[in-house]
Amino acid sequence: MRSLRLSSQRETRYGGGWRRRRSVLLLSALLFILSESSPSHAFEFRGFGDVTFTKNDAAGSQNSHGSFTLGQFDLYLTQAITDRIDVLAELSIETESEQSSQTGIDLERLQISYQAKDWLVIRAGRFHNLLGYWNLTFHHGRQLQTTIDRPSMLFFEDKGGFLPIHLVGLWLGGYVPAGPLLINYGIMAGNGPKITGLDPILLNGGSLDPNNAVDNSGNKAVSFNLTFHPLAVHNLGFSVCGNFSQIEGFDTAGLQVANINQQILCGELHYVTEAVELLAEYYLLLDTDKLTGLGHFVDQSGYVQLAYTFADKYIPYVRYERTAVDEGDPYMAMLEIIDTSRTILGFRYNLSSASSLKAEVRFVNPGVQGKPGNAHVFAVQWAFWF
Amino acid sequence: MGVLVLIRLRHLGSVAVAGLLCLILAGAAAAADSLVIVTNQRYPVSKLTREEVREIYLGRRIIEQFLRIRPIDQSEPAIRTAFLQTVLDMSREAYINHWNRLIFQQGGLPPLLKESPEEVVKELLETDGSVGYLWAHDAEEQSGLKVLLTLPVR
Repeated sequence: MRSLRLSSQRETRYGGGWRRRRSVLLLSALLFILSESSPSHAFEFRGFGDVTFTKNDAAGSQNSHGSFTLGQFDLYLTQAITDRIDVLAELSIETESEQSSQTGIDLERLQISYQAKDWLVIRAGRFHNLLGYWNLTFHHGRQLQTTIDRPSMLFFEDKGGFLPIHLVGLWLGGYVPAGPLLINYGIMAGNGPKITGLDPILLNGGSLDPNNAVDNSGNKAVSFNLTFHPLAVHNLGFSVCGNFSQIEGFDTAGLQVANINQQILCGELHYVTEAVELLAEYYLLLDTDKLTGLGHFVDQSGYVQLAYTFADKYIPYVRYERTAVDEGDPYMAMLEIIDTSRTILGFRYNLSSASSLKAEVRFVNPGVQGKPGNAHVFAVQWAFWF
Repeated sequence: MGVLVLIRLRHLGSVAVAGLLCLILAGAAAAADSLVIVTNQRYPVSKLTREEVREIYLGRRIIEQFLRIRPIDQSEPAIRTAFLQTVLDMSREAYINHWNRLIFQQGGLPPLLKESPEEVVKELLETDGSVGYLWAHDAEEQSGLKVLLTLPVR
């Protein structure tokens, strides 16, 4: 992730050796903390990992020869440091990019929270944004999610995503009973994202940066989520959510070339029992480039996923995703997001509650480099937690 | 001789029937045992509803007036299964998955796991805000506990 990536001038000067030593030190410190953690709780899990094989039948695609990929090795810690104060940390070790074999350590989440009341929990740190169901539920642990990958509109910022998945700032939330409903609300405010790395001529090829360290503008991003749980149907929930931010775009020379006013409105419905998993999310993006005055643009994206579990082990699943981009939207152009649909058919086999094998075929339209017609992607994953 | 054998057989039959009856009654008594939701005398409320206990064990009710609630689980399969079915209407797997997702989602602490009723009672007496479940007959033998809810087992 483009997170609190631990890069420095010293790293450049001394190369990979320093980075590897520092990684080992950080890992050792984390494992020490884990080994010293609190009394026995009903659930013990400390991390996630996965290995994935992907083959794309479209000539010229990145995985046309078939590739094994190390997924994120995700380490997770939660601890109560006082009666009311909890700390959560999530560290991920992953390859830096699809073109590089170098690994790096990212601080994916770090939050400190104060439990004031059931209806008021105050958190500060870096979180997953309050967008829908998936982004708040599955995070970086692929063992928890039924499928191999996230829906494409929820890809992480540095993996081609166009939604602000992470946010650094404050988060207020809690549970409020309301007659036949239990409402889980959340409000976040923090650094809005920016777009960096844009080609100075074409104004594309950029990626979202959540602004972990410094906010490049005074306009804070604000997001909200209201999730309703009917007490009569325990496994059902539905939400309305939104995110409002000002996103500046910078080219590779650091020159500002865009200033997008963005409003995201979203909704989701989930019904999750021991057998059935039904997820549906919808996102509406309203973009206005204030720098160029090119007008307003409306983009839509969403997915529906259905899975059914037989005998606790065998889980066939299907997912349909669609992203419709308003032609000329500079925000989507800068991130190179185009109209896309993906249909995924898959099967998951739970080796145990801690490990699973998944296999799926994806019908992706368009295929490589925007050419019409389906590309077929085959993927197999072995995921685990421990 | 034949009559004597017949009488002895009848006697053995009566003993067998009586034994069988005892077994059935003992089984019925065990099956009729209740679960109790218990805490210590310092806990700020004296009653909870089944729905409130459910919210506690699903991590949605975390504060009781001024206290952080500390739910306690038991690893002993019979009582844990009975509790999960009676209060949460969930299997053990679904319950664990719920907590794994919840902790991963927003942090916090899952219920503390204890291996025996004795350990549960010790934790209840020592820790403010702790809430646990016991068989009713186990709770009756303990002093210093407060019963918040009694639940017949399905």
